[in-house]
Amino acid sequence: MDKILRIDMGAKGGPKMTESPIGKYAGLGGRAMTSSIISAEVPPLCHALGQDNKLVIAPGLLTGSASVMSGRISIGCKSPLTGTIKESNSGGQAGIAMARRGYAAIVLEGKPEGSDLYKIVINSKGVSIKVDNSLKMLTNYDLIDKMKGEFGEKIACISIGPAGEMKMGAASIAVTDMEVRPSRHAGRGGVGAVMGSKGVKVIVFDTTDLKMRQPKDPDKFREANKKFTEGLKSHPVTGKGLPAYGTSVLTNILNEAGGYPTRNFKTGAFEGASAISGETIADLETKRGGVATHGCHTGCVIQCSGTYVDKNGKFISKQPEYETVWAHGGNCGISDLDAIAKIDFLDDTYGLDTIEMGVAIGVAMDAGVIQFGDAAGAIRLVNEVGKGTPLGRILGSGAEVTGKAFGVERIPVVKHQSIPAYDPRAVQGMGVTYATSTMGADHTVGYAVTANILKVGGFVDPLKPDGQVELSRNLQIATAAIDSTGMCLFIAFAVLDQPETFQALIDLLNAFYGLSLTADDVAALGKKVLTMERNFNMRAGFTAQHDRLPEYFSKIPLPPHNVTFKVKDEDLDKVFNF
Amino acid sequence: MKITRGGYGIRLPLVIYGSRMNGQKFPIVDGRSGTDLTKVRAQISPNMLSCFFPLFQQGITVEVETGCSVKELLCGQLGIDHAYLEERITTIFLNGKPIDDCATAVVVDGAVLALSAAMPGLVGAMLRKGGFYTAMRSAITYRTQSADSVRANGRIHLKLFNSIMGEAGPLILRRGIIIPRSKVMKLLSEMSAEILSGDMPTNGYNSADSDILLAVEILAS
Repeated sequence: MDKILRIDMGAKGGPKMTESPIGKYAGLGGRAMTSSIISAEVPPLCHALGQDNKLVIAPGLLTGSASVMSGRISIGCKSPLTGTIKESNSGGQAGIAMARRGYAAIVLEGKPEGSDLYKIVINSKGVSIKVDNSLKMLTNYDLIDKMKGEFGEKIACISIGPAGEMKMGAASIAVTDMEVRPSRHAGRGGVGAVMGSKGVKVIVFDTTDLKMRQPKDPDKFREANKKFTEGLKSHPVTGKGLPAYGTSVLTNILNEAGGYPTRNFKTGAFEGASAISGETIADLETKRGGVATHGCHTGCVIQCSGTYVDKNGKFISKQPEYETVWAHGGNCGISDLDAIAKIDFLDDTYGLDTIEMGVAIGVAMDAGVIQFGDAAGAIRLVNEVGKGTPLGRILGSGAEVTGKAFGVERIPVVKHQSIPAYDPRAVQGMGVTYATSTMGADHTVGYAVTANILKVGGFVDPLKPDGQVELSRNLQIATAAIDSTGMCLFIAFAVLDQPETFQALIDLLNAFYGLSLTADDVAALGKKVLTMERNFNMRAGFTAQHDRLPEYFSKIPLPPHNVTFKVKDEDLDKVFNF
Repeated sequence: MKITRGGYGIRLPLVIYGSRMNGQKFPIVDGRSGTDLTKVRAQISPNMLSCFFPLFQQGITVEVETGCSVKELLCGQLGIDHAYLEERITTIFLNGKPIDDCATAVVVDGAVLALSAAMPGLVGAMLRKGGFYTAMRSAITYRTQSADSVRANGRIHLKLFNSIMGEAGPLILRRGIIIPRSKVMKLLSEMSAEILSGDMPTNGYNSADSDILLAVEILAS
């Protein structure tokens, strides 16, 4: 993984490819790689869909190795949805294939003239890029079926659906899973629209002759991998809760806490929560002959996914995860699991971020476009997005555009991106992260290993009133570092509680690269990434005034606890004081 | 009186005996039953336990002595092991508010108590009892009211989530839960080929949805 592939899609005479050594980007992976390239090479004030923006695809530092949980792939650009720098990451098989082909990054640059659509194929013979207009407006599932017909089953693909081609703000980039289904997505921030603006429909990796990346110190690596795996399997969350129930295991407890945003964030409790909980999904999948415990990429030992089937055992979608079930479920007043799974499939095949779409539909419901609880109506709206009707174009542009188009006051976004499945009035620490994240409202940016292990920024007293600001800061630093390793963020639950498991992660990195990193080095990497991202955003015109939640979160109490967001602006401004 | 399958409009291998449970041991709050509720005892096979899972998630009513701490209620009254409470039930809500100290949070009559194992994500970490991230959800944290600790017989609404359903559910069921007759019927209809015994009068009930005290033993697998 020592080279970078750049494809200038706007070159005269057609796309021009160059491969270069990794050079100044050596030692970087995942989010650290994408944010470094974007920060250094993209003019912050450029149009996100213009020729100066770049789409950077980067596996993590350990992706493609024998390390468990290391298959993530990061995709970065200037976001057309938020206007900020963006890193969105995904599971699936493409990161592993890309890393084993030796690519630390693929950078799509420039902008083609005309409307041709391109297909990039990477195999042992090299890279080819060809016009293939037969792919135009194919859904992701139809596209991958076509690619399998052309190249066989041993492929991994990165692709966009019609939403990406239409350059919608909610457009995602799909990554195929172990069953070669386009079910894993870099969902957030409209990264699919940037891929669409480059005229690239799909990148196909031939996986037939790939070899595992080898560590510098195999013995230490094997030992660290063993300890890391044992730590994950012995932890109650990664070893039991997630495998058994998936991420939707959160539904019941968020609902119980009164922090489950319901009907466009009007209340914090949904009467139909137990009908769409992880417990219910797992039970239904098992009874119907689906799969309740499954990984999204090779080497996953947590296995938080699954396969959702209908009452006849026929595939509907991969197991919808918590944010999806919430966005299209409780947030829209819908408790019909089959309908939610159907919408999940539609989002995947049209290439849409399930959070942005669910929140946009919730806003549309608030405006009276359809009624809350109207599952058939919600399916119809997602199909309108996929077809690109005028209403679909509005919805596909995200919750903020939808709210403005229909005159809705309550639009739950930060930096133009939809707020995920935790109401910041009930869970105020999450609100701090939503407000201040470099990515717009994002639940994953402050998600990972904890200050009490890393001690980034010094020890934090969690009982202090401003503890949540400090905790958010430290979590964002730590997450930025973990996002650079290629590790699934769900490792955080074990790392959070088990220092020896965190040490095993550092040992994995050291053994693989022949380094002697410490926890401080990991924290320094996280700070470096965040600093680059903040700097990019400042140069793009973002100020402290953008690090705020929508006004109504501070004014309108959230039942049942009737709380408002009370963190002061001056405290929010301290989050990045490091 | 013996009622056979179909006696209540449901197609079950149902056997119910017409006498009250005189002399039978029925573990309601250390013998302080004091209830006039109709009592039904059932035995089900382990694979039928999941029939109760929707009910556990929505909440079941149990008779307890209120005015005590969560810890006393769970361990002293419901029989949950102390170590299990400490290590496994890491997330507890009292009336929708996450609690940090089981020894000081007081359960009053009519309370809603929800029990969960450790949950994923930052929010999962925040909601854990006494965790490092409690400050991040301080707006909804449970705080003890000084007037709470008045001892009395009462009822609480108990919710069991995720792995707690399968692990602690049998203990709660054995002790007895109070549920409307209509829900008992629905549950029994789902538990085919199992024997149910107890006391369920066939007539004289005006309310089709009157409460029943249902105690369930899980047969050894």
